Amino acid sequence: MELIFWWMPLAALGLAIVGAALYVRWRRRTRDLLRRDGVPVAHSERLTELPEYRRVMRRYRALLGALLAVVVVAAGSGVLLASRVSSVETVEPQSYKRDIMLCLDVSGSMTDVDAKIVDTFASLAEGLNGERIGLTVFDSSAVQVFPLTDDYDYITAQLKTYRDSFETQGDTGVRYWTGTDLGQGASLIGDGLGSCVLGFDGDTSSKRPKSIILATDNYVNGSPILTLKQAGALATKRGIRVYAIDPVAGSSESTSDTVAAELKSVVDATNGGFYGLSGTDTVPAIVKRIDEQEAGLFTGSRRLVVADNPVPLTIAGILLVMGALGLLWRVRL
Amino acid sequence: MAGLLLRVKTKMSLFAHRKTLDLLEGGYASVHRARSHDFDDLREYVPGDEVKDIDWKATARHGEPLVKRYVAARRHHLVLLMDTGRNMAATAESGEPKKDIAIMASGALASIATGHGDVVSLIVGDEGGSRSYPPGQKDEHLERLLRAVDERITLESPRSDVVGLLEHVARRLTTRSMLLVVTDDVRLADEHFALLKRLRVRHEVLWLTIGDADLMHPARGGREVYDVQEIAALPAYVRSNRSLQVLFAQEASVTVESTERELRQLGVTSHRIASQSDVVPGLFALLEKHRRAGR
Repeated sequence: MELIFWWMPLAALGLAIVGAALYVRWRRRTRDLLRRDGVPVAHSERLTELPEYRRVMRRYRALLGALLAVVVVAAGSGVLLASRVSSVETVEPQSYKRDIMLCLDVSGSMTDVDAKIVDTFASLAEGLNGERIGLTVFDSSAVQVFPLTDDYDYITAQLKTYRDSFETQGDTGVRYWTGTDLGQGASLIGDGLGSCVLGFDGDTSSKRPKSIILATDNYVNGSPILTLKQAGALATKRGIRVYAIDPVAGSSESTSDTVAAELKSVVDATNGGFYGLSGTDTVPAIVKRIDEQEAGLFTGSRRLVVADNPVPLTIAGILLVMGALGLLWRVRL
Repeated sequence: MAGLLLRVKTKMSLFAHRKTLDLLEGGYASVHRARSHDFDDLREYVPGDEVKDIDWKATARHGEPLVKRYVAARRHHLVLLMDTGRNMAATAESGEPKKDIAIMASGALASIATGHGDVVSLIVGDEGGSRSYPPGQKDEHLERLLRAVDERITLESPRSDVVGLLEHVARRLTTRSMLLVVTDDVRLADEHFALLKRLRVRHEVLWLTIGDADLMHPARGGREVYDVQEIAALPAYVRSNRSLQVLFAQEASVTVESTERELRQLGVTSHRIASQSDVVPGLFALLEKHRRAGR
């Protein structure tokens, strides 16, 4: 709690002192005023000696005291309102309002990794706020399972359905490969990545950080329309970072190194990252690392947020003024 | 400047019919028991005259009742005892200043007394002390007395002190007199009664109370009501309290009754008037009560 016009209570105090002084001076004159304007009466002891009078007088004094207290508190809340009570907070602006497209290669060799990725994101989705997640699966053609959305219940349900489907090779839930085999060949990664890139908002003025989590082993079988490099260039052009998770990187196969190196160079060009799924790494750990890397990119500088907070004082002030009016009516001042 | 006495006389004829004024004169004449045997003349009977003063033979001749008038054996002495404390500058029950009612009542009785050839003197008193004015008979003298009262009673005057006034009278006034005490709803205590007892030995005492304002009456025109004794305002909140209003009215009437009863027991005739229009009938009632009590 802080006061924006910190000098206001001091000014009010000064005013109150001046007012009190003026009142005292006026009060001295009021005796004469009373003589001029009032109705003089004699023998008020006829009234003041009644026990009932003392009782009424006590009640009158109590009411006056309550009135004074209410007026003072109401004036105090008014002064506080005038000095603009505000709450001061340091805020780290959240950079989590991201768009994440899960771009999964669903060729037969990838289903294990895919299941883990969607499982991780299904559990992540429960704690998200403001992020949008989309899911695109591809093999020889890409299928957008669901576009970018922040309907987390839906996301979780869909991801869990796909997880079950991946784990059981399509026996339960949906047949995950539906629509992904319309092209010629298999694992047309360039086309898949290109589809994912196009799955983002066309709105280029959007400031939301965009990223793609691409799970693929990068074994291309066939001739894609876009090469991986072209797709990567498209992603770079649109400011989309691509994080690749490669399950075969670091394996013993001879071709794997060159294939992985190509993928790595492409995703590095998009300011993304490349993660090989070696024995020590698990998918959740990698997802976490990606998350941290993203968060580190977009955490803004700390900001001091000063917000006026007049509501409680206003309500209290209004109630007190109403109370004071009621008391005033009661004591007939 | 119009004289106070003239104003009193004007008001008397304004507030009372000719008949009522005659009544008052007859009443005043009959409160004096001492009479001479020197017949003066006859005049028409007015109610209040002693029945034994009726000249029956002359009445039979004339057709209207006539009473004999005697040359007064000696001058009676009317002494006006005026409470001149600032209480008397306060408001009366009618809303008029009590001072005006007091001046009118004393002026009325004084002018009737001088009309009968009696002498009138004045003793005023408050906490600032008492003062006596010499007796006199002329209109100018009455005017001077009334003016003295008028000037002495203001809101800046000292407080009332009826005991002091009575003490002064008991000590100083040796001539057998008829005393008219003019004060307000003062609460009588043992000191008053003791002094009145002393005064009664030598004098006839008439007690005229100018009724005080009803404190619980809503202020006229929303004005503040304040007590002259302490210059303290009576809060409207208190004055508008219903049960207090009822209690006050009860208490006030009890006080008025007990005051009159206690005074009667001392042989002091008393009457309470509340407004200027009350003055003439009030004075008549006072004299009538006194005449009856004297029998």
